[in-house]
Amino acid sequence: MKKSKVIPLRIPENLDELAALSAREQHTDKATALRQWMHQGAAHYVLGLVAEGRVSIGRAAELLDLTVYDLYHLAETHGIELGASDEQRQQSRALAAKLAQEGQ
Amino acid sequence: MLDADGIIKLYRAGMLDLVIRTFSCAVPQTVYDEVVTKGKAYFHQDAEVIETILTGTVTIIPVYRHEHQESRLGTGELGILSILPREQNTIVVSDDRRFLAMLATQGTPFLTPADLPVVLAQRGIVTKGEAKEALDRLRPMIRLAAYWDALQDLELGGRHHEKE
Repeated sequence: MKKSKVIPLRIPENLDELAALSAREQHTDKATALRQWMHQGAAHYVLGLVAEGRVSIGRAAELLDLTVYDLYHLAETHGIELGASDEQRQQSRALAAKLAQEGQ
Repeated sequence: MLDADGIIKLYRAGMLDLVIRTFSCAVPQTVYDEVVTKGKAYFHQDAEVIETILTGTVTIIPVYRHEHQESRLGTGELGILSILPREQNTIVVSDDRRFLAMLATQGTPFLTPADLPVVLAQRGIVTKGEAKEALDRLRPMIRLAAYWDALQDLELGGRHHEKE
């Protein structure tokens, strides 16, 4: 678990009401409900960064305090495709073709 | 050399064992920790099976320090970057866009996991059918375009790139 710190946060009243509702339904408190939402939002944001090639999967896992396995699961859950760019894929395919010929 | 992404995807494709037996593979300690040690600590069953596959078959390379200070990479990828200058003629297996961009700027050759079943099929180590099954297992973890490219290469048997 990462270290935590207290941040004063101003939120709209409607979100506060929703957090209260979520807390009741989840049998938890409002602060926990808000933290869960923040985690979910952060995960979605970081997955976007990984998909765009702005951070690596390993770094994303570290930032979210998760494993790489969790990241793949989250990406599938959010319907976000992760992987090499088109240009990178073409470079890999060219090398693969070369390796295949060398082995024949 | 395999990063966490490469190891996990090849494992899910059912090809990790075969790739390790076919090619001389190495894994930095930082990548091993990311996939096996942390994976087991978080109760991922895949981590235990991967540990069994890697043990005694793959060279685990110690990483003494990270020479690269790159905040957008994790410790596993940084470990690979630290080792690469000492390892000649190394190909890195990864499908991580950020990491591949870094490797490309350094001129380090790389393969994505989806290309390995194709290579193994074209070398006659697995059948086309087995390679196709591996790609089908890999499909949920890779981009759709990567899946179709690999299937096309599998059918064409490398002729696609000979024409280019």
